[in-house]
Amino acid sequence: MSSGRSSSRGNISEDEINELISKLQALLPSSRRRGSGQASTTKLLKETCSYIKSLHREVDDLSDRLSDLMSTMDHNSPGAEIIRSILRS
Amino acid sequence: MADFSPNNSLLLKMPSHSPNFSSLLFYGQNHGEAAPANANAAAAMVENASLESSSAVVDTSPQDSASPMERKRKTTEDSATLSSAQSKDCKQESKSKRGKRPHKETEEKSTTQDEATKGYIHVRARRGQATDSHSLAERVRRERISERMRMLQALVPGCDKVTGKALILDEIINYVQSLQNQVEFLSMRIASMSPVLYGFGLDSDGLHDHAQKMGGMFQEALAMPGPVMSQASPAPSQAIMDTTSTTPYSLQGQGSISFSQENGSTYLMQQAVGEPTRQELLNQLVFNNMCSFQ
Repeated sequence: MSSGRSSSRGNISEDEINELISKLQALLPSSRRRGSGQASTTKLLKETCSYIKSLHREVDDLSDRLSDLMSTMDHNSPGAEIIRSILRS
Repeated sequence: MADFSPNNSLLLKMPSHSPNFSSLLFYGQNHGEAAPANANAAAAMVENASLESSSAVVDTSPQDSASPMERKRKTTEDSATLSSAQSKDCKQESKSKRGKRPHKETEEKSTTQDEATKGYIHVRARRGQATDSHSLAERVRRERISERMRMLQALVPGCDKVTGKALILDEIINYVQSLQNQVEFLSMRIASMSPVLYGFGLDSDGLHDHAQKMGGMFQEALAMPGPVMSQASPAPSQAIMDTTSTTPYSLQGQGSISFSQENGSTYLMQQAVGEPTRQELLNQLVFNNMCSFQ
């Protein structure tokens, strides 16, 4: 990361933390609609927690679907090869 | 009794057993030293009673720092983690407005009064810390935040090695971004894969021409799926999907099509010959997902 993390004495300044927090907020899906200026940090962190969990679930779900697709396909087809490589990565 | 001095003939009762205040006061007027001692004792008793009764409420009155209020903490957090959280907060909030230094190794044991059901938030105030309402609320908020941060640390792999709020936040941001990319990647793959399975096909000739055109264009760019490309079925139609998020649209507006080579980025899919809907599916797959062949 190009932005400086620590100032001279090794202290992490308030501003950097706030910047990180707003970056995190930008990633979250719930803050897309409203032009939210500032959510409280506690709510943000809680939402990040649940978002990460739901992302986990979604990745698992998609991988399951892919492997199901895999099992129904012809094993030697190139599509299967692709899927296998996806699941390996 | 009539042994008292004539001034006190009004009151003849002696406060022997119960601390009767009025009598004590009266008593104190006459007997200088003894009465205040009793009064102090009684006052101390009263104070203790009020201490006990007021511990159910978050303290809002300013207290002398030498005698901190002790209360039972609402959450059952370990005292060790509490002090570590405290010291973590100290490091990060060195610019906090509070005058008193919050880092303390020693902790005071809380009194064991059961007030969890009262519905208040109980905070333990340490020695030497400001105990006015603002800093108490601040501290509660900070502890909640650090608790959430710890939860996040547990969720994100590799985050527990990192210390410091900013670094943890950085890790979390990276992780969320990579998870999002992964989800997008997987779902695009699935979306493109599943129509293939449902078996579609085209009129062989038209498809063959079309496929040849596309195959020719793409084949040069594709080095990766060697064994895949060498499969020669009667009407090989290939739809080539570039599913990386970075380079799908690099082909637009170009006369000749050239893929930017990335390992594992371009894939070849062979479709079964069959139903006539293949052409539109091909179109859908190729044109919607990638680029225009104009």
